[in-house]
Amino acid sequence: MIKISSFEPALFNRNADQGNIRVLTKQLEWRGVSYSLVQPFDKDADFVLIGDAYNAVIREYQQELMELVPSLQRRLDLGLPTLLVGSVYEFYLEILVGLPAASKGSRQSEFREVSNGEISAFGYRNSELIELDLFVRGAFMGTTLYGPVLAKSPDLLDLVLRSLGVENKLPEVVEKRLEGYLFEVKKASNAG
Amino acid sequence: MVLGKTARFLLRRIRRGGGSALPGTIALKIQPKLLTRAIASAPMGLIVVSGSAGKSTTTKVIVELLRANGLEVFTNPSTANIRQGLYAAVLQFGNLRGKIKADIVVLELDEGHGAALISELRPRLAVLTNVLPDQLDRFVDPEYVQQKLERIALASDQVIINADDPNLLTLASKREVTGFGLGRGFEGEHPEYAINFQKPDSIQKTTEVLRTEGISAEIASTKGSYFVKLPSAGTHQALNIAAAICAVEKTCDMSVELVEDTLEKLPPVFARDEKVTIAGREVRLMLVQNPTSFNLNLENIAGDEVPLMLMAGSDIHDPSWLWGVDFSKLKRVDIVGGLNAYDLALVLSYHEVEIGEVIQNPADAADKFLTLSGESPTILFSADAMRRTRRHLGLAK
Repeated sequence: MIKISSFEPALFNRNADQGNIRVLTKQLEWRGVSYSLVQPFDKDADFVLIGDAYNAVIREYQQELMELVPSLQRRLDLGLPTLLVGSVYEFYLEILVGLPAASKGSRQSEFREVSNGEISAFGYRNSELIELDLFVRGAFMGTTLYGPVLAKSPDLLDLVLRSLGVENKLPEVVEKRLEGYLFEVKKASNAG
Repeated sequence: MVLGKTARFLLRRIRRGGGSALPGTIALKIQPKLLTRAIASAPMGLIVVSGSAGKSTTTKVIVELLRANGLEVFTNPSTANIRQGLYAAVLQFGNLRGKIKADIVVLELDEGHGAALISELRPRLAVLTNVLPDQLDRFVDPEYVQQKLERIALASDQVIINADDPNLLTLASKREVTGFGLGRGFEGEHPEYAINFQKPDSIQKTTEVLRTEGISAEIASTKGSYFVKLPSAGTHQALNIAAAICAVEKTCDMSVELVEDTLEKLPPVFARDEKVTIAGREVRLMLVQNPTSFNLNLENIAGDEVPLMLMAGSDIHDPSWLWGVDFSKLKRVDIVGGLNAYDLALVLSYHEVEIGEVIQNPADAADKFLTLSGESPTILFSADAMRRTRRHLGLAK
C-alpha cells in the first residue's frame, strides 16, 4: 500500500496546496490503487508533501522544518517522490544541498508554464524568486507554482505515479474529461 | 465634475449598470482632491469600514441605522470600494462643485486601497472587521493585510476592532481601541481568522453577540440588549451587526427600539444571499469571494438544489483557492460558468461532483440556466460573474 504524508496539512496550505493530496489520492482511487494517508507526518512515506505556508507559520515552525533537513536531504539525494511548494520550497533553497541558490527580484504574480527541458509544469506563481519555478531531481520536486500543481501538470503527476510504481491507467472517460478541462484552463490563463 | 459626470452618463447609456471605474479614474486624474473635499463638506466627518470580509454588510447597516436616526448619509454603493469607485460615487451623488449633501460619510474601503488613501481621509472612526486569508494573489499573505489595517487604525481618531481576531487585537497595544465580538458563553460557529501565533491580551468588548438562532441574534452593549434580525443566518452576520451597532453607539444617540426596527426592515445585502424573481421564478443568489465565504454559503444550502449553477469569474486572478473549498456535499452542478469555469470544473471533478455543462460566457451560462427546470434554482457566483450575470438578467441596480 502506498503511504502518503503531508506535513501539518492544516497549516501548510496557504494557496490550497493540500489539493495536491486530493489529486493524488483521487488519481490512485480512479486507477484502483490502494493507499493510506499517514498522520502525523511520516518523513519516510512513499510520497511526501510540504505545502506553501503563511509567513507566520514559517516563522513558528522554523525549528520543525530544520529538523526535517536530514530526511529531506536524503529524499533529494535519492530522488524520492517529494513535493515542496511556495514558501517552503523557498525556505529550503538555502538549506538543502543540490537545490539551486535563491535569486530574488521584484514579485511576479502570474500563470506560468515552465519546463526543465524534459518536464513541464503549469500553475500560478506569486514569488520574488527569479527563474526557479521548477526543480526536479528524480521524483523530488520543488516549485513556486500553486494550482495545485499536480492537477495542472500531467508531467509531474505522471512522474510521481511512475515513481510510486503505479501502472494502472485512468478510466478513459475520466482521463478525457480532465484533459479537456485542463486544456481550457490553460487557454483561459495568461499563459494560454 | 462636469467631465466625470458626462463620462458616467455616457457609459451608463452604453451599458446598463456599468460606468463606475472609468469616470472615477478620469475624476481622479483631473481633481485628485475631489474625495477629500467632498468628505470635508460633511460636518460629522467620516466613518470607514475595512477588513477582509463583512465590509459591505457592516457599512450598509451603519448607513441604514444612521439614516433611520435622521442623519443624511453619503456612502459608496455596492462594491465600489477602491479609489476609482470612491471617486465615482462622488461623481454620482455630488453636485457640480463636488460637494455632497450629507451630515456624515460612511465608506466601505478595500484593505489595499484604503491603506493607501487613509492619510488623506483622516476618519473620525474606523471599523475593522477581520483578517482572513483572502485575495492572496493580491496580498500574498494575511500579515500584509494586517499591516494595511493597522495603517488605517493609526490614521483614525477612534477605532473599533473585532476583538476575537488576534490579528486585530494586537492593535490594542498600539492605540486605544473599542472591541466587539462573541460573548464568553457564545455557543455556535466561531469564525476562523488568519493564523496568528501571537497571544495578545484580550480586551473588554463593549458590544457582544450573546446568541444567534437562524436569522435572529441577541447582541448586548453597554446600552442594553438588542434583539435583531440578521441579513442572513450565521455568526459572521451577527458580528457584522455588532460592529455596526458599536459604530452607531459611538456616533449618535439612537434608541435600542429604533435599531431593532431598522434592522427588521433591512433588505438583504446586494447578492450576498438574495432571492430575486427572474422570468417568474424565484432564484437564490449567493456571492462567494474566498474559500471562507464559499464554504459558508455551501453550508447554507441543502446541496441538492436544482438547477444549481456555480460561477467563477474573471475577478478570481488565481483560482488556486477554489481547491480550499469543500464541495463534497454537492452531487451535481448543472452549470459551471464564468471565465474560470474550467478551473472550477477541474476542482469539482476531483470532488466527484457531476457536471451538467461548462459555459464560460456568463450571459450564455445565465440563459442556459434559465431554461433548466427545477424547484430551487440557485446561483453561487464570484463578484465579476455576479455583476455580469445581474446585468444580463436586467437585475443591475
